[in-house]
Amino acid sequence: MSSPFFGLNVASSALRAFQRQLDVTGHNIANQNTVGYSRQSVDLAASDPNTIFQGRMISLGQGVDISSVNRIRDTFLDQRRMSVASDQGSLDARYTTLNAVQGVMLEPGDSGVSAALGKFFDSWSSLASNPASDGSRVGVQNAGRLLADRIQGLHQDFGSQLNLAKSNITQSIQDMQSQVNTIADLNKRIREQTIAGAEANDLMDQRDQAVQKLSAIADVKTNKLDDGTITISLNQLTLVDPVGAHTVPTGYDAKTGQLVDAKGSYDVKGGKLGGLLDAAAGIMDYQSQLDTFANNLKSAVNAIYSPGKNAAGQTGMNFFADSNPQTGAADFRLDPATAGNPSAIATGPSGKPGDGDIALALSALRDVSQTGLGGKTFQGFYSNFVATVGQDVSFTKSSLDTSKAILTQVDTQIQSVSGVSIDDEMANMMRFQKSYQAAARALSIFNQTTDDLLGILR
Amino acid sequence: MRISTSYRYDSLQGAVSLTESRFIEAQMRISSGKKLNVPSDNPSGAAFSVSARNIRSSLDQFGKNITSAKGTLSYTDTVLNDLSNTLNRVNTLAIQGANNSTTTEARAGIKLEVTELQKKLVLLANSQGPDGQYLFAGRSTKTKPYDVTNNALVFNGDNETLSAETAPGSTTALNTPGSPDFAKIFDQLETFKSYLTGGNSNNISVNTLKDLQASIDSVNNTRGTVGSRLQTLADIQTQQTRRSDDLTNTISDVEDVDMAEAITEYQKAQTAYQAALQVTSQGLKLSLMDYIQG
Repeated sequence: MSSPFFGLNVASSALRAFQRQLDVTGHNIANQNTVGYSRQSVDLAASDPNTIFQGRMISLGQGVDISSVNRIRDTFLDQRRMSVASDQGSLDARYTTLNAVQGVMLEPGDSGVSAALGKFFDSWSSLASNPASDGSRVGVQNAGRLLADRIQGLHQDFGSQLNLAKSNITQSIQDMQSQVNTIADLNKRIREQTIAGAEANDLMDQRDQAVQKLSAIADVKTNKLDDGTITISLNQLTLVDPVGAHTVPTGYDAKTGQLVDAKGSYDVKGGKLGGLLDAAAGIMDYQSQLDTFANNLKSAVNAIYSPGKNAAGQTGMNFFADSNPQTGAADFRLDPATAGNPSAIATGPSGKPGDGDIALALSALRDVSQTGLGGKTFQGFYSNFVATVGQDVSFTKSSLDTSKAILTQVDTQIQSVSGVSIDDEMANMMRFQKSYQAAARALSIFNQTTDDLLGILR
Repeated sequence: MRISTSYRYDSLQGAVSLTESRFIEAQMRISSGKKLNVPSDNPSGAAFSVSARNIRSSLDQFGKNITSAKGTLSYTDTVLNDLSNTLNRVNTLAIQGANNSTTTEARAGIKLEVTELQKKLVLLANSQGPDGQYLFAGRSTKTKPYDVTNNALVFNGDNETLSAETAPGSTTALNTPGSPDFAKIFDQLETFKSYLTGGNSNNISVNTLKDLQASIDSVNNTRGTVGSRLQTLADIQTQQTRRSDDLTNTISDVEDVDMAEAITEYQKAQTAYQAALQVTSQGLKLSLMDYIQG
């Protein structure tokens, strides 16, 4: 025979359960704007029945228990989002950096290297057609100086962009360390709660957010362990494990796209860090192409210019300053011999005022294929260079747009599964309220029957 | 599909910001007038534009070279014209000198005039062009080419060609080395004077007139050469100007915005933006809470 208080217990278990449901619904509503929040729900289960003898053996339910409070989350979608966020972070960093680089080239237009190169050859054509003219000599000097300024200037601008990328890389590594530390800390707190038997839903939401942010920085992989903690690795590097947070290497090698520390080097293939390393390698390649261009230009111009004899009888001079080994674009300037008095400029090998043969050859250099430039002319090489940079940026942009669209789609799906819908929660709230009212009424009736029972004994 | 509240707001806001950014882009294209601002807008177009601009710049330079060359050739033509007139005058004097009936005084008078004409010949031989360069000195354009020494005209210049670059890889000669042969003409005049002194009208008739005619023909040939060069240069200049204009049009096609098209796009973008704003203001109003009582 079960106790008269049995019914009271059943009803009060219902009240407790529905109270929790209302609480959790309230929690969902309170967090409707929280980024990364997954809606939670209470899982109820009928309590284990009691077996009693009443005429024969019967099984009597004991009410309702809360089996768990769960968050509604699709971990598959989370994994998908990690890889998409990593792609997008990489493409975005690469696009932003390379777009700025193409901006400093100032092409097509009158302010870039290609216009100065054209003017340079034009100035030799003018001098060839009037070798005795001092005005044309000054023209050649000015055009040479303009070309030198623009080439040096572009080299410096590439350098500034590279430095900017490098400082962004350092910043990203710091961000990575900060997220890694946060995740390790959350791991510890989640483990404590999980061991005690509870589901650490809100902490897990925070950890998921941190993991997503980390994925945007580098292409990390996660692994869930039984005690509720996760391990995180970045290719060959372990970032978070049961021991705790590890130090992210602060050294890097842009050419190989790796992080480097005393113990070895680790690939970074995605995320903002991967994109920045890639872009930095790209800028270094552009710099080296500019250097090749500059060195070949110095050599070719000087080779043609050197047999020239000026009015003072000097010969064997350089037009552009050069040295062995060559210094590329960083040091592109007029040779001191040609930078001074314009009458020092030679136009032909004989030194006669009407001899413009060398000036003519320099004007014709415009159309000569250069073996050092893969058989292209100087103009051809440079316009190809401009197109290459343009294609790099344009391709990255369209890939970026696609990955943004995919990320939006994944986020939509995640929202659909885990997002709080106010209408949903309001409807639930009404339901749980009605349930609570019913349970309260049941409780008051059980109370009444208990009173009636006790009333018999009076 | 289950719709969460934040998805509703996010998707409306997303549409607004997307249409807004397209609207701003359309605005910028109209105000800058350019559709190719950076190489990534059209990489192959950018490469074309870079090359085309340089070709155009070189064509413009050739145009300037041609203008300067035409100046030099025109000066030369004027000098040759003067020389031709001078020789014709000498020819007239020679015909008089060849006539047996010319008196001794008359011959002396002719000799005086021929001496003056010789001085003029030297001046013409040392003519300078628009930049002060000597026209008949070959490449030694800063040194006076002709000097009178011991009653002969001595040439101090050289026989090399002066040229101007007037087309890719091609030059036009500005001078005619070796002609006119001023020294030979001076010599012919000197001989004529000696015939006049000696009263040798037969020699004048046989030698001088023949020599003068040959010189006159040679000078006229040279004038013809110079004249045809001037004509050729004028033709080349016209062609190159037309090519340069064509290139400007082609470059503009690649780089510049078609205004009519850009304005249409702008209006479309504006309409889309307005529509997104309106839909957002409507869509945000609906909620279950409006219908729950109590």
